[in-house]
Amino acid sequence: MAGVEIRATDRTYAAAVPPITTMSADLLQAELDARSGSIRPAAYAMRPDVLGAARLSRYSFSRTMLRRAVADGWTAGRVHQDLDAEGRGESIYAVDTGTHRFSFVVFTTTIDEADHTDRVIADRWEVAGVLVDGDVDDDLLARLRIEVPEQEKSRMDPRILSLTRGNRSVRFFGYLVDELAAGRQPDPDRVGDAGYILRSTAFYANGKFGMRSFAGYPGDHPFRVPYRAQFVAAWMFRELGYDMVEHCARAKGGETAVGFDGTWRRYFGLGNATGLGLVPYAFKHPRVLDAWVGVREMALADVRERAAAPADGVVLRGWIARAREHFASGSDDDCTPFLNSQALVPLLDGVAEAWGRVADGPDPYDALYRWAEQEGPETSEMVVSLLLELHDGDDDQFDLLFLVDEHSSADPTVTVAEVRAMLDERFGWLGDLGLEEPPADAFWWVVSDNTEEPRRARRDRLAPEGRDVAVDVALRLWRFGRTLAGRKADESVAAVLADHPEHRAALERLVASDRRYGEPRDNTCSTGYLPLQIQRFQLAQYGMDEFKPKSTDWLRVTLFQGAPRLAELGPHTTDDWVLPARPA
Amino acid sequence: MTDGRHQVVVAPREIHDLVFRCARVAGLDAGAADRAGRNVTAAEVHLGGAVEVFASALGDPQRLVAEFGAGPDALVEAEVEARANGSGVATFGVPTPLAALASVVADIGGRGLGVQGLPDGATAATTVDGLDVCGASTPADGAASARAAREGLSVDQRAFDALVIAARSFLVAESILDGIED
Repeated sequence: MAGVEIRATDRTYAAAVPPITTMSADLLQAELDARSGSIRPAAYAMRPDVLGAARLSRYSFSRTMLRRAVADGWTAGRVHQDLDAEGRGESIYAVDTGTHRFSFVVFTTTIDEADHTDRVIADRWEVAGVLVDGDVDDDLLARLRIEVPEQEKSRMDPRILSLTRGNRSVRFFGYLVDELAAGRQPDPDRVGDAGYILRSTAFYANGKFGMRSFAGYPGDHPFRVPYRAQFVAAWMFRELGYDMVEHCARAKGGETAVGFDGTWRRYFGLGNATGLGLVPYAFKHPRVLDAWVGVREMALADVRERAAAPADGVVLRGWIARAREHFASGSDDDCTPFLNSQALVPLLDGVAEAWGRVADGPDPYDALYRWAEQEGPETSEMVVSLLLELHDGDDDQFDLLFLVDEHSSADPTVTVAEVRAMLDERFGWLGDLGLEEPPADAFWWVVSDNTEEPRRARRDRLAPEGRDVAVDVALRLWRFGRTLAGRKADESVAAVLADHPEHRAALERLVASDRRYGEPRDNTCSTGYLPLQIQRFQLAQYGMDEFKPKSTDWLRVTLFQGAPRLAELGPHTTDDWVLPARPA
Repeated sequence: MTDGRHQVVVAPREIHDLVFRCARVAGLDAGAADRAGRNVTAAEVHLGGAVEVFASALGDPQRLVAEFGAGPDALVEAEVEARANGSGVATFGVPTPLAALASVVADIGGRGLGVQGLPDGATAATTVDGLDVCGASTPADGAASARAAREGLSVDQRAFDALVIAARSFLVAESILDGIED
């Protein structure tokens, strides 16, 4: 499998880690229950093609992180940089949240262009960094110099919060250096829709390689919000790209060199390449998935129920225009199965026209959404993200809503009848997937010995022999249901498992899957399974856009494009930085 | 058990993930292997030394299955009995270390029942032939779990390395995977 990914936070453990908070999970469910008549049904929201049309929104993690930074008065900047003329060396960036200080320590080198790869299995990287809780003393820095470039082979400790790496953009890094060195700004036509200088490949965290566990953040820790540490690291990674280009330009051009000016200062984000590693996470964490979807659906329901307000209408019209301008400067590269940037332009024209028709009517936001849903998922999910720009949720509350207690334990005394009822209620959709047909079981999921990258293997070419990753949720639950059909209704499920221990994982999953939006309605093992769809959903939740598939299994994306730079953080920093126009 | 040996600080999830893979390789189904991972992790957090106990079983898959697969099953059966009759007895086919049972004990406690017969001063290596499920559970102490999440767990380096090596058998060679692709 190809690709790389933001490596996910992982589960909490039954007795090893206390629940983060059951209250927050209950709070989200209560909020959704209160909107049960207006939220979108899981039958729609969890459809693979709908998930696969998701876009970044106000509640994506890159956005929530930067809003928190502004709200709490964080400051950030570069505290040390020692680079040679080619940009090789080390840099340290720091962020001060008012209560904590963090350091992003990053080591840079150059590798031959031929060795550049997006695959997570690469063993050499031009950029390797870590986010550290606190300042970095000489002893720690010396250790990091040895460990960080080793990436998956390294040993970290709980001071380390995230580990990442990446490469320069082969196409644009040198070009940008040359232009700035010559005293020129980049030519917009040469840069095209390239939205990044550096391309990251993974942000490991949460206990990987000995790093701090997510549950190890105290209650008042500023990173006790899912993915906050990773996105602080990503934001600083993006800053490094600017600094490296400007440094190399100065080294090359001397007095002639200039820095990025005007809108170029924010235009570039951080690239990312993402592969199959995201898929197991999505299928192993139903309550996390529910939170991600549930928060969005809750906000959408609120906006759809709003009455018309002229000021909101102006804002929405502005966002539609902004999105159109942003995508109009993008490419028409083949992005199948997604729409490329140019194809989104007429889609957004359609949105603008539809808004023009409904804006003065009753329930205009709901009317716009209903129109969009009829147009198909690419339109409906674009409109969802645009509508969410009108939402003004309390970030303190929304940060809590993303916290999930994943612990569950199946009660062995429940009866077969009770389990059947649970199965019908939570997985009644399995019957639509054709799980009895041979193509449904064509693949199994395996972990490669090359940096432990997940891949799919054809069952008829390689037998699992106990090495399968249990993300075959649909098949497992379907087969469990078949077994239950032949058992007495009043016997305990423990008795079933005594005869069929292979169903234990299915029972535990059934019990854990107690939320509306926890299950993508898909079969990861079928011949027709398209990983790109769940990947895109996850990436959108992270705050990534510009989805450019490179195969059925991996894609490139951009994040933090248009975002404020470290030095720009301040009380007047606004949240409307996404979808930037290409500099003129 | 670890005096004088090298220790390494690891995160709880690392123990879980490695035990899961080793248990799969030894023949446990996915659910039982996940449970083994939770048991060993919980035992390491609350009792210490669980990684060493599990590592000592790696060379004997039959023992691993009997202790870490059948052991928790017997305790679960006792819980079913206790829920029906007020008390239940778990009789283990082989002396079973608490490293194989710790999370299941906590889960039973979470459903309100107590597990009796745990020796005072027990460690993860302490073995039991049987346990009683009856009475009320005692409140769980979350302090050790929180500390483990915050600071990591100091475990025997040799045992941890043994898990790392054994867990590699769960992986499939990249060359094989490339070879079977179209």
